[in-house]
Amino acid sequence: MTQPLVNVRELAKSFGAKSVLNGISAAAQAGDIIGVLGKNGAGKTTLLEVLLGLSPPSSGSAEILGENSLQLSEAVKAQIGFVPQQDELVDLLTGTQQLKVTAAFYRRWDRELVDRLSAEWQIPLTRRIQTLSVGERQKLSLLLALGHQPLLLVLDEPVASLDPIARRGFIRQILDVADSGNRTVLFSSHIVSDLERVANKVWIIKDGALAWQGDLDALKESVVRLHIRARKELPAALAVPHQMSSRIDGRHATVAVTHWRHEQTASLAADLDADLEVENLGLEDIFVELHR
Amino acid sequence: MSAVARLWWTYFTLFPIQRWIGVIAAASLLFALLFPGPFTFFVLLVPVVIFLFTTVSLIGFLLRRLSSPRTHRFLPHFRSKMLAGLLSTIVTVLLPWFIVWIIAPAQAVPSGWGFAFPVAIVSTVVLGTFVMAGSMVRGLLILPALFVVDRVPVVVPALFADAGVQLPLTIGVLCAATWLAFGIWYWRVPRIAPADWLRPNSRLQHFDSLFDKREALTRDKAGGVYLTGRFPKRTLYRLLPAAIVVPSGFAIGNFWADPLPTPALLLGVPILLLFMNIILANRIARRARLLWLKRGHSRADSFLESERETQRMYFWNAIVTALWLSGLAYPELQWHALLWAFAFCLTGGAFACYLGLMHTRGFKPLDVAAIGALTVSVGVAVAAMFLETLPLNTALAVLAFHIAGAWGCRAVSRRRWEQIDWLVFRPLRLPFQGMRERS
Repeated sequence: MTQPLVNVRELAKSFGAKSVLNGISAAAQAGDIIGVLGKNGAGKTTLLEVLLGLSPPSSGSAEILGENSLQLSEAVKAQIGFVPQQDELVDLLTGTQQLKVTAAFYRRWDRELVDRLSAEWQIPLTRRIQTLSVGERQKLSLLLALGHQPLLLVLDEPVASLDPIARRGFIRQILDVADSGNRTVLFSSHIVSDLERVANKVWIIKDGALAWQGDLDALKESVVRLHIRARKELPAALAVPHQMSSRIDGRHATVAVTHWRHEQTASLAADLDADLEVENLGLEDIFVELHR
Repeated sequence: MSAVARLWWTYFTLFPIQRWIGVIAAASLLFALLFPGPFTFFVLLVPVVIFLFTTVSLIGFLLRRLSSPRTHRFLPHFRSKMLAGLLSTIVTVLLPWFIVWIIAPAQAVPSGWGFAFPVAIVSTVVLGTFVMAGSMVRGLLILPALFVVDRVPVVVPALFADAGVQLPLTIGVLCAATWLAFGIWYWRVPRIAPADWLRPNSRLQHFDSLFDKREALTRDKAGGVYLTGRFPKRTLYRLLPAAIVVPSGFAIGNFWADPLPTPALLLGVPILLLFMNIILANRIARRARLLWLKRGHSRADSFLESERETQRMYFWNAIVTALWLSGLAYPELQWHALLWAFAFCLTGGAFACYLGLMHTRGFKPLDVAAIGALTVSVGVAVAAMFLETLPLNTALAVLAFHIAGAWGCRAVSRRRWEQIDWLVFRPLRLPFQGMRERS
């Protein structure tokens, strides 16, 4: 097995007495497009910024291309593109100047790509950045992260401020980036539908730990909602394995379960003396059930 | 706590720096009362003066920030409570001055001035910063008015006395009328514009962009852009302000028949630069985050790069300020005055800048100690301002104190930067949507 591009081991981060991440371990291989999901304040930004070495972990370690995040070499840093949640553009510069300044740091700068995307996304590069709208700033931040064709693209809420057309363009771009070479994309978003369209893997953060990490398809196959219609009153606590949440109302119950195998349907129906309907869930429903 | 009391408290304690200066001022005041003595008493009162000065400087800005959100208009009796909070804060700020003037045995100016002068100054500063927070250009037009009010007690009384006008009374009435007019306006105006004093002015920016360098950027220059937030400029751009500021010092020095004593100029005026340097250095330190993924630097290297940028800034500021001050002190260039001014500006600037670079983890005991040390230095400088000539040992002690402070803050900074957390310590965010150019 090849060395993972991103490797996180027992990562913990606290701010004073407040613990945000508790022993997260995860890895990303080349070519992965990983969506990082979590409620507000779950620690998505903290995880991404600790991973990039912007913030020292309280314990554990994070590595990118085999190097400790806190001591990344110039060569590895040149392989990283990052779009933070709040853009970090220089307000007094024009868009063109900002591109020039950022390009000066990299030996490889795909001017053709930058020109094409800036035209496609209609970014007014001649204007000062402080006069741009939130969406235009976000698009410019994305351009800056893509210009040097990084191996690892880390995007923290990259599409939150974009209109639907720009979002589609951006998602197409992510797919292009991931397809062209062994690039890895790690991005957090609240727009689960976007994430579902792009990501092949997800990391779901809950209570400072990873509640799920793995293939998106496997997650969707594994988590289902069972609609139970029993012939007699159901007990207050149902004995359904790998239960995530349940709502019981007399003879009817709705139970979300993980690690579901369809072979279980008949046996569970017999055990409960009930009719059982299995509903496959989308990522948004899975996310909601995980947090019930 | 009632809304008015809450507003009063907010004006005095909103920013951490205010709270810490407030604590130092309270301790200093207590100490001065317990151990009275003319010189000690004066030095110990300096933190109180700084605290009140800081508060007065922020009132106008805060008033606009608190008044502008549209949602605040739906709060019951919002405007009247804001005005009551403002009035109670201003009365509190002025109270110590009134008390000092009442109990002072020998007064240098007629008693009426003891009331009229502080009221005029505080009114001008509060209303001036309120306007400036809304529009920098309009605010800049108020600055000359501030200067005039400042000089009135020295220059104008004789003229008014000849005309038989009671100037303190006139100024008092004018202030009252101004506040009444402001109160009515504040009460009735449909909406108060938000603080957008950094809103771009297209003409100024066009002028500014004429000085942009055209040649290709090196990585070091590009790093400088991220740290300072400005595109590299031609040398002329830096020389232009200096070419205006420095001769203005000599021009004022020639024109001004009754200048402040030399110690006041050489030691006192650079104090004003200290606070600016702390803010600018801290801004550079925060922006170092932006370079982490762009340069191959370690955190220690990031510190050195930020330090270099800071040094460039305070060295140049020290040269320009020293030339300006020596011009104010003497109509013709006096090398000894220039060297002393440069030494004070340079060492004080270094102390302040390293304090700004050090302050990366909130207000820890070391930060408070450093601010306390800087306050002591300011206290000594303010006390020396009232001497006719500057004693050599005092001057050398101040320089040594600055150098020791700079060295200490640098050592702490280097250690802190090894573990700097840029997730927390990041560039301050301005409300850029409010800064968008008006069409």
